[in-house]
Amino acid sequence: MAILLDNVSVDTISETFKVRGSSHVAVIRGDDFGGGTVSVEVASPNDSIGRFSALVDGSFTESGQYKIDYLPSGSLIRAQLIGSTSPVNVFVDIDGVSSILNPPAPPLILPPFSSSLDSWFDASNLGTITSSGGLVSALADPRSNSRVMVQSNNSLKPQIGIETQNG
Amino acid sequence: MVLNLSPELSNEEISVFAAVKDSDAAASTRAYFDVFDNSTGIGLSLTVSDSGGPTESASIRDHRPTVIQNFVDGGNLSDWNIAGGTRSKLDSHRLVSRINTFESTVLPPAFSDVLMNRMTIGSSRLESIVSASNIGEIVVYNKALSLSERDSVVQYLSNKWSIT
Repeated sequence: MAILLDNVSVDTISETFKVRGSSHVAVIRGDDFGGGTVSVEVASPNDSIGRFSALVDGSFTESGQYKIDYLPSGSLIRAQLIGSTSPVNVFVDIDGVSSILNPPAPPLILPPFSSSLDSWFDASNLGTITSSGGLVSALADPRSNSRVMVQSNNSLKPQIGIETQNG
Repeated sequence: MVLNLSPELSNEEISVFAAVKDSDAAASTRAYFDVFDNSTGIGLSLTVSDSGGPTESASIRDHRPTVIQNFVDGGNLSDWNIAGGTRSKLDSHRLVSRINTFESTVLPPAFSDVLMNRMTIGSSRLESIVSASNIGEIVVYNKALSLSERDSVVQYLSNKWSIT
């Protein structure tokens, strides 16, 4: 069972998923719905993730599902959740076989007055930490603005994992 | 915890806030935020430490000329706290230090323009004194935030890190 949209709210669009191997049957379905609609798009294998031109455009609501009987190798799938009143999960099954998709990264919730924000470092965002052997050598600004806190001296490097958020 | 910012800042106005927690109750436990001109050492230094009891104190210092300002908020060493400091060239280089909702300001006796282009977190400016505390989140603004803006930043960090 692959999660296409993981515990997301309204207007969240999944990462585009590229189907591998031969042709497939795909079923996109959901659970935990709160009245939302899932819009499903499928693009040609000749498209790229950056140039997505939908060949199939469907949707389903509540406990329904959207079935694609012929899905050529390399096809691209993405989904958007619309109008949900509570966080939901959306799954995609390929030929009834589980596969793993990367759920979309959660949106960054910036500190207030972000237009004046020079640097921002959040140790709870593990993707921004560079460490080895539990010692932190870099802590990056998640906004990809090249700001990074660094330490090359092993004796001065912070330890990671000795405290948890809200701990 | 000692980290140095790269690339360097290019600010004359600055505000720095952090969610910090002492890792133990030792008297030497401190959290440091130093923002300064790397060529002259002028800037601001914010130190958060225990005060010999179950309280947190903060001092903010203008590196040169030396001005040290201390205050105590009555917090709990074992809790997370929000510490912050600002320096405003546009407001006579006024220094503002803060722990949670407690705040104090001071004017250095002699004013100096300074380009605060380097920042260390978790240590004194020269890395000669190293913090034993934990730092969860750091936000740096390129201006001296107003009181209401500082309140908003502290509220943001307090909510995120469940600091009451």
